[in-house]
Amino acid sequence: MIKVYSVEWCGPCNKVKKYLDSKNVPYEVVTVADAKEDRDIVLQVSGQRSVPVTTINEHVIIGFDKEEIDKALAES
Amino acid sequence: MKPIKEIDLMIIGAGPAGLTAAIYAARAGLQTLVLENNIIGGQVRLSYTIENYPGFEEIKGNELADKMEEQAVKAGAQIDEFDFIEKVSLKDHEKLIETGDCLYKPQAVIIATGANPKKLPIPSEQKYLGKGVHYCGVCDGASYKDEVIAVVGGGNAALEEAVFLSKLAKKVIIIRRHNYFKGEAKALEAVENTPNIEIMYNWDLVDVQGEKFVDSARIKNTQTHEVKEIALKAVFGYIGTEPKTDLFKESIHLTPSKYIPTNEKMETNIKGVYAAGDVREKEFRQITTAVADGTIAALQAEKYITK
Repeated sequence: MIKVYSVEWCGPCNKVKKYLDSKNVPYEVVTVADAKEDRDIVLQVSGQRSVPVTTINEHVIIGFDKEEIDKALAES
Repeated sequence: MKPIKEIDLMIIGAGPAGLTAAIYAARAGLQTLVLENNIIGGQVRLSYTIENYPGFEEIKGNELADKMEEQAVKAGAQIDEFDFIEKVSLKDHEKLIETGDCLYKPQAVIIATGANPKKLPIPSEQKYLGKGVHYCGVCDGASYKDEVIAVVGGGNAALEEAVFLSKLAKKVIIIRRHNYFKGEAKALEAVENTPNIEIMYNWDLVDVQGEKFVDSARIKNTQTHEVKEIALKAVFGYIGTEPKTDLFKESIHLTPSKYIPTNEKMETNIKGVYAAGDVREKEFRQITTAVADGTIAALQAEKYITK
């Protein structure tokens, strides 16, 4: 399952979601805005604290990176 | 072979300048395509609140960006944020823009690519990027709830983001290398009225350090040259912007600072190519000045196309 760790009002986060929508790829949104504990999930998954983080199988993609998303989708 | 598409107007960049140009151009009946490889709304979308755009005493950055985008689309402009530009050739007699999917031949081009936040000029910037070095308060501020953090910079963006971050963090320190701010008096007043913001005038950020994540910053007094360390978990950089003009450096004249010089009609040195917004060489870079530029560029492009 593809997961997008994001906050609601973050532009790059919404761009990742829109891009996956445009490709008709299903994904789960993990909203991490409210609690610091939730934010620690981002840290555990990606080793850093910026969102968005997208996980596609073993790929962990930080920010909106079309090329990396395409590559990960092609391999999945 | 990519399909060739002939269109009236190509607008590169969907910030306030590009979206305003799109509204005017589409309403004038021009077939208008806006390409954006980053975020629709540009820097506006990354701002928590905006208090100096007429008609809105206070509006969230993403709301204003949504409104501009909706208006441009309703007017008839097409916006594509996933087809990235690969090559650009701009000449008086022909404009070619090659994207991942198409080869566009627009009659006129408006460059409204805007500017990116400048990276903090510290040795460990890359090492701690996302690990205590950040540039987007609304995206990453929540990670530092109840922590001590710093904002570096002296303009409106620094002041406004400090106020936003003060709602999350235990304490926000503004590191300011001069003894004054460039931002508006009202924005400074809001900072001064926020109890958990401390302003450190005449201090400059030297570097950040920590084991895996930032846990302190080294700062230097610009007057006395005293150096000291302060404990904090993150620094948010708002030290200005740099223009996004790399794509065009072979095609049009740029200033030594890489901005695009234009005349008051937003014309560049190439006929039918205009520049608008923060990417243009000018003194003031505000949302209001960007939308003014976008208006003029679109009206001039219309005149050029229909002449």
